[in-house]
Amino acid sequence: MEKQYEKYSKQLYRIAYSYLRHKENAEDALQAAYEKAIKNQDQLTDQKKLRSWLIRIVINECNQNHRIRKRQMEIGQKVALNSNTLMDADYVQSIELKEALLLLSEEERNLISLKYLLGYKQKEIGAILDLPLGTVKSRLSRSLGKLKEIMGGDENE
Amino acid sequence: MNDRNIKKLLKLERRQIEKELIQDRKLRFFSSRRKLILIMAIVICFSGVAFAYHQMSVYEWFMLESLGYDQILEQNPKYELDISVEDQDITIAIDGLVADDLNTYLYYHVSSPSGEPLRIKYHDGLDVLNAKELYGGLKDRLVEKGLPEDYVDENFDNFYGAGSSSLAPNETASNREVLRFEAFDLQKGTVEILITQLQDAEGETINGEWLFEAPFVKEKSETIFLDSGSILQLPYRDMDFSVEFMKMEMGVTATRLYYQDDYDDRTVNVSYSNFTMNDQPLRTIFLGGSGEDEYSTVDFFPVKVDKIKDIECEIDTLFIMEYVLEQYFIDEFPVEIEYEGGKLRIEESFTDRYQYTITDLGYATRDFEYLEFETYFEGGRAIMSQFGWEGCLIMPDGTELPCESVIEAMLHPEALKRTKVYKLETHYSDEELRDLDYLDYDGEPAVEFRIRREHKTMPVKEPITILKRHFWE
Repeated sequence: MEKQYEKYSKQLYRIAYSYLRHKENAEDALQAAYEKAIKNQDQLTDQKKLRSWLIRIVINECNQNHRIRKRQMEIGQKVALNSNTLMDADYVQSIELKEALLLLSEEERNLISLKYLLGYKQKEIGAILDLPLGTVKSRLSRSLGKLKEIMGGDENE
Repeated sequence: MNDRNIKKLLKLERRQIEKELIQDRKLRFFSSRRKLILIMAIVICFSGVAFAYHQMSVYEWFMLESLGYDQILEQNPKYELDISVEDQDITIAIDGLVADDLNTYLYYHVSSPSGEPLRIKYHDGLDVLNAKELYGGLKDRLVEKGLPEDYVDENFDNFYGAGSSSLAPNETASNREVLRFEAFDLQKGTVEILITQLQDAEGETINGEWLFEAPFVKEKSETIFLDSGSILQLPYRDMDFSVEFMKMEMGVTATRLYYQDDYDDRTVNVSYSNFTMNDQPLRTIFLGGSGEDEYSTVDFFPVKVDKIKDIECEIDTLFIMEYVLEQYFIDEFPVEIEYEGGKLRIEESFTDRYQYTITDLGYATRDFEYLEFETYFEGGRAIMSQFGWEGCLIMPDGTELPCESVIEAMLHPEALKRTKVYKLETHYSDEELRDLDYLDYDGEPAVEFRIRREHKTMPVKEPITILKRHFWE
């Protein structure tokens, strides 16, 4: 298991980092995910699905981390926004995007993150989240619509 | 905000993540270069590969290193051993076992009727049978730090596989080596060592069974708390840099310095050199370093002084990895692109996979040594593996020497002195992309090249005082 984990460790770190945007938190999440993977390795019946299974565990771990940190982030970012009046527009939008992602459901955030922030194909996302391709497509479209709405979009555009 | 804007924002965010990840993947350039020099120097000395114009210097370096390990045993003659076991006409003899709070060094030699060079294949062919007894406390500490117990259990061999170095032949033995283990937890006891595989000069494995019980007594080390630090402004972007020195542990196997450095930008690494204690040079041990501590450490061959007056070092080189982004969309190959007033030629070839050669057509005036590229394929994928490069060395006096491989460049004595190594031709293939099974990748030509980072070295000479005591202290 360690060898397999090692094989995917860079990819898993990339995912954890994309979710948490914090080196130490990403490493902690990977560590916790690793422990869970070892503990629950009996649940993996098909070795071909190892990668998707590991990614799913890492994502779950990151989402848990998100729940804990969501409130802290909200406070922290508001403080940052108030204290730095010279931030450029891109930076402000980036913060708004991160906040908007936190307001999505876990599944919506997973779909958006895997597709747009990590560049996975819809077929791969289906394998990771254990969803049929058609469901990935429809829910991805709905998630993007919700993100747009949160960020002040007009659904009729 | 419409769909296009949202997607654009997500794309920007993805780029930002990529950028952060690239910065995060900061290579420990200094340590990896040092490790490579060590590994290759041992390979060369062992295999007799000739690098005509600098063989002597590497040889001299190796002899000094070997002498250092031998002196550790010579200065602790009570830990000399004479235990030998024979199997299949091959005799392995343990010549010494020196242990303290920092390291454990096991000295051995192998002899066979043919006299061929043999060494322990120590990653696969050496087991410390009572490792759990010897390293029980270390295991507890690692588990406390958050490593899963199963993982620590299954990786016990890391504790006794911390490094090996060939030793120069002496009057009684030619195939000599020292193995480094992490420091034992027990103060005294017996190490039960089972050797099952040896390796000859061709890399062929010889199986057998050589079982030893070697006694040890661990010497205590002395700790000197330093609690000192320096804050500097580096001559690169007026960057602030600070280094704290926590303590120095002095034992019979090594003198270990614990430190922690901090930069305000993660694109730079510094290398330290010219460590001295009471004006006497401290010689770095390449096998050194702590396996479990949270601080950076550097090990020196042990020194004995009655009273430490001062410890000094200097920062001699900055290794800079400067983030850049230059995009080039390529329709057909070969192509010449312009960068920093010079030209780069990119050629494509295809056998069973795509390969690219990027040749720097001029380097004389540029200040970077080499570039890091990203290559994008039709589907937006961007992973390439670099499988070789050719370049040249520019000596401090400006003379140019060819180097045909990374090994030769790294082994050059001038490279040890931080001479600039210029990459002139870099070879990439899509091998790594093919190895990622989840991508369903079956070969696509590259369509875009991006220059992502410039690597450069900057010589500096910043003296740092680690400890200074006055006569009344």
